[in-house]
Amino acid sequence: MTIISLKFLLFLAVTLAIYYIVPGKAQWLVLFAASVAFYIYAGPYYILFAAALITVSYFAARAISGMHEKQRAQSQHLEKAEKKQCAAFWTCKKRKVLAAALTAVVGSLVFLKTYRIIISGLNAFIGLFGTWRFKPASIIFPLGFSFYSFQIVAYLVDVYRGKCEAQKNFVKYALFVLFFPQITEGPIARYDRLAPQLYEPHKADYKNLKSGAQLMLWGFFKKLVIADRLGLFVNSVFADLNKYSGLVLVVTLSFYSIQMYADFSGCIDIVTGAAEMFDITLDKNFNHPYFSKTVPEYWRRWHMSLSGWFKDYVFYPVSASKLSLKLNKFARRRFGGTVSRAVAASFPVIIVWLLTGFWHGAQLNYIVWGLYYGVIIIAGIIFAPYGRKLTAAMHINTDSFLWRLFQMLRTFAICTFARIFFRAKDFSESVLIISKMFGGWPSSVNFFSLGLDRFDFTVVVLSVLLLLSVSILQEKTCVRERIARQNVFVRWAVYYAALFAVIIYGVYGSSNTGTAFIYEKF
Amino acid sequence: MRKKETLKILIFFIVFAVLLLPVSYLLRPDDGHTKATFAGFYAEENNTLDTVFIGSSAAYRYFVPPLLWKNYGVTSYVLATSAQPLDTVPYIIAEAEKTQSPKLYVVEIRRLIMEDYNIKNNLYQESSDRESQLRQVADNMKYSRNRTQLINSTVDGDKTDWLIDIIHNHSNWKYITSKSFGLMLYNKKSSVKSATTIGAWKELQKFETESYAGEQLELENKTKQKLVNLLKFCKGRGLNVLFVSTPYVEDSQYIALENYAAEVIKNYGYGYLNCNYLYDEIGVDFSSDFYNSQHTNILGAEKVTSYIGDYIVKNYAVLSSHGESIAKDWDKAYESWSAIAAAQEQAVKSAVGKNK
Repeated sequence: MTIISLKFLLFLAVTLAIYYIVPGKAQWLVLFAASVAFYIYAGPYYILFAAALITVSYFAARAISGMHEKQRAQSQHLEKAEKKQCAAFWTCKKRKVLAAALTAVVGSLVFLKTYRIIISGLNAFIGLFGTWRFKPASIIFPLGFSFYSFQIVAYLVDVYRGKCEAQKNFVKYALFVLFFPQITEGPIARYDRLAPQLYEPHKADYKNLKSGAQLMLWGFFKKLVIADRLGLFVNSVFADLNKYSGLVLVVTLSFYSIQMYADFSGCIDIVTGAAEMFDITLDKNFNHPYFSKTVPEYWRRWHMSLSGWFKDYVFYPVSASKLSLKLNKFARRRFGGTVSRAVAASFPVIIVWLLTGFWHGAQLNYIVWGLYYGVIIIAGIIFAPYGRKLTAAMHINTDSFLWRLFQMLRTFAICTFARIFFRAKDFSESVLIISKMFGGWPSSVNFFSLGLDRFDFTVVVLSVLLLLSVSILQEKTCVRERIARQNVFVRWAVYYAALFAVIIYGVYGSSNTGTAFIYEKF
Repeated sequence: MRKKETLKILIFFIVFAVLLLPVSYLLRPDDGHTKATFAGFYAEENNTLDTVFIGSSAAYRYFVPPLLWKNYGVTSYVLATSAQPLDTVPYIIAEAEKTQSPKLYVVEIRRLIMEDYNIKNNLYQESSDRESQLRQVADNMKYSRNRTQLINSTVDGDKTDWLIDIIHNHSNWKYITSKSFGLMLYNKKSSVKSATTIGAWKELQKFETESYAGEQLELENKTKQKLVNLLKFCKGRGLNVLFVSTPYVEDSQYIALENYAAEVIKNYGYGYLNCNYLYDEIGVDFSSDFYNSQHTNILGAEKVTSYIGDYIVKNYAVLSSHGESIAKDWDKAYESWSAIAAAQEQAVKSAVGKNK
């Protein structure tokens, strides 16, 4: 049941009705039942993976929490030196439990992402000696696994760090992991922000229902009208890459960048809107990333829950690690200034981006994609002072609109180039695209023959302009609140216009199959 | 949440449903005549039609209501769609009965024969053919219980995009013209009362049907059941129905199947008129009256309509008196059609003449 289907809307409506009918204390049970039903419907065996991870992480977190308590109880009557000893003892024990649990969770993720590659590697090796081969079991990657496994990791680490208490109720904890609107594509939730909202009673509130529905509608518009329409063009070019070069590929990749944003942020809008209808606020996942002036800023605005996760659970720990500190010290002594800063940042940045690439897939193109961003960010640190000097020497007003626009376009171009590795089916296809992109520009191309006719192009142009205008407005104000201030005729006219735009101009239905969300496969 | 707010939500969705209906109709495909035919039928004044013709192109290319009016004073309408499956006919009749009380239904059965022939000869492509044939009917009926029942009984699998057809038809926004808005409420009369004659020509050879008059070929269970269901439906409602097969270039299997179908129909007490045994009586000329082996052109349609008109007037009590406004409306329809017919006749005659 994809979240853009009528079935999902019906499911949501029924769940909402039951949720607000039952007493407040039982509301979380309704959410739990709905989440389990949703996940089982997506794939009956998926729930087994989820149940295994939930069980392991639940008991691990309880064990760590129990150790926290024991440590507290023991340290109460101890002297400072003994307290330190006690802390070291329990920290060691907690670390072991945490490491075991993380190995199970991260190990499952690594296994699921790599087992096919490992088996094909083994087969290639065995092939040198005979004809026998391993037959890889047909394990389908469980829906949303990459997202909720990271959510579990964050929970375990937060419990270990004492940032939050371990949940005692197994079912309540399972709800935190399985909460149905967000399980397929995130946002990757943090326990301390999401869990209390899931368990506390909520009253049916017209404002929440309305606001949630509006956000969902906007998400549907982005996904069905923009993303899936651009997808027709992008898929048509990628289906026959050998035929195209130069301008066609540049346009295709630019379209893919917009498609990707409309698809992913559209999904998040639907998810966030659905949660809002239950009076639950999810973490923000997008903040108009294409308005970013630099790549680091882009990553602070794009898939914020993932970049935030890497910052908290990889970047900071790696930066604070003994190895990183040693490296830092060495670089400062040896090079000093900008270079030492770059070297210090390089180690955690490269680790983060290698892992980010791997999170998307255990394929060379994703790893290269991750490294590309790592290198760009490090280069940014190195060249930033020179850039500032250059702009000053050229008397460029860096506060001017034109300069900021140039910076935004530059960031868009850098990110669009990275999408080559993201969209290509493997690394060799990425190389092919790059070589063809710069390998001659065709004299004439009929863009209307590439999956979109002139009517579709008109819709694309108008809807992207609308998306841009709304995004500009959103930077300054809350669009939904502005609409809410209008009289009922204007308000309803806007709602009906949006509804019918989605119904009429959306790319969906039996004749269109390309409606899966791009990030669903991760 | 307060009552006022609940009411607001309710009103919002009611208005949405009210708006969705004409938008759905607007986005339904328009092949140039089917949508206009259904819209025209719904637009007819209640209880003013004496006869309704139902069937496939073997009906709409042959029956000319304005001519029937002019010659016999019978008001009629052709509620036919391309390759119309016979199992949709009970629902079309039920829909027709909502606004009309025709004294006679004339049901053309060639589609059933063809379907059976295709099954027997492994030519039938169930999924691709049937969907478009069913959609011609379902996506031209107004939202109603009959339409829902038609979908439930004929469509397998997920029916959502059938029941809410905008899901299937929404991409037709590209083809909307100012003319489309005229049909969006299904209330625009057909200026020629559903006549769909054609001014093209092809010379054909007659098939000697008489030599196979005694032969029968049993219908497949599936197709026979469709016919039996229709017969039972008509019997149950006490309807007057004449089953017909219009002239075309036959085949030994076709005629044997028609002979078998005739037996089944007669067993239920209904009349069956196979025009393929009546070429001389009708005056069908295979060298001038067809535009392909399956369909008559304007010349053939005029002859078939005259013969059928004569037949039903003599054998069924179809004649009734119509008020002045209805008569005027039909006279106007005849005028409109005869202008078209004159041009079509001229085109056919000139094509035949050139060939000679």
